[in-house]
Amino acid sequence: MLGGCSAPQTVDYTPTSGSASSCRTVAHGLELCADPVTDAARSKRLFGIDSAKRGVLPVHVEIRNLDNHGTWLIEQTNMRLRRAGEEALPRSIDKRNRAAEVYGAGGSILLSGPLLFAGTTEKSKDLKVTHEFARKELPLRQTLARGGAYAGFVYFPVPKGDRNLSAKLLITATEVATKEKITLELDLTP
Amino acid sequence: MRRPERSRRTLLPLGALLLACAAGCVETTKVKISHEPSAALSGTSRSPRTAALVITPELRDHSCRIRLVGGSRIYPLGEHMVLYAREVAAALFTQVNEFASEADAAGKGDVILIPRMVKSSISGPVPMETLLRAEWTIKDRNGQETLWVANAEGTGSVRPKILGVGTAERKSWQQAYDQLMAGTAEVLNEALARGIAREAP
Repeated sequence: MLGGCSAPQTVDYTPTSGSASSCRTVAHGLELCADPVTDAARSKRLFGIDSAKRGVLPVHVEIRNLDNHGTWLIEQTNMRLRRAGEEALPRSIDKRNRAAEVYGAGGSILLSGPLLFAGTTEKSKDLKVTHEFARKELPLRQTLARGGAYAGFVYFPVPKGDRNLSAKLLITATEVATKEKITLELDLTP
Repeated sequence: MRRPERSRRTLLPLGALLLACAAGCVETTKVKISHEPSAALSGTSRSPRTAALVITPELRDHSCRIRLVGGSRIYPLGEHMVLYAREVAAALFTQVNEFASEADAAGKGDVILIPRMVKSSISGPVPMETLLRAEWTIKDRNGQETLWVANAEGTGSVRPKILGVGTAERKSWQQAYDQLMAGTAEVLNEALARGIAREAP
């Protein structure tokens, strides 16, 4: 993990060694770190399954409000896939991806309500997997006061088995006092 | 004589589950949670302001649903979440009035409190694990501005004894609930300590 992002509190999460799969940006006093989980073994350790095979990309996100800045309300997380110069998720991929059935507001997968793996039969192992995803999920909305930080996973539907995605993570935040609205953008390099 | 009685009690949920699976129907399992006054809230200092607490139909009807082989199971949690929201609000504010929507609550207190269940989950049976996560939004008196959003969660993990799945479920939900209460007290106390409710016009 690159310098500056530390002490994530997500259950069982440890950053990858080296910085190859970790990204970081700082803007408007907010620090954003992201760590996409594309490796099968790492995914199995964290969630009990190879998530890429199921068409889900978990991205560990840490957001920190650096000192001497205002209070921010983090409201939305989204991701854009890049394929051959295209920045949006192509409709055909979106349609054939079963995870898209639970594609929620902001573009990330909502795990509450209908279960994550729509179409599969929930047995003991599947229940465990779904529970692990839920337990580690980043809250959708959160106020960050000066010096505050929070972390968790955001889940995105992706083409099944694709481990070499080029994508951009987007976080929308509003400064509570001034109502300034910003979008933090971060390139995810698998 | 006691042992067969206990076995029957512990086998009942399993029998009901098997029946539900065979029929492909929805089984509802009542969740028992004890609502003793929370020690986590006893140390909180009350804000002198009044709060308009919004208990939405979504909170009142919240349930955890899992899919099983050929059917599904529902754990109704809304009743407990309403009691949780009331207890938290009463511990943090001198006066709390309850409303069914944000629109109804506008202008009825110094701040508007909106609790929302964002996640509930159960997995098992060994160990029987549960999760409850709530989001609290504090808005100004008119509901125009969001002053604070905080998340709190509680988890439970219980290893069931032989055929004691029902008991393990109950204990696990209770653990999650108690932790959720403690976590909520912590995050909302932080908001109040930062003067959120005092800053409200």
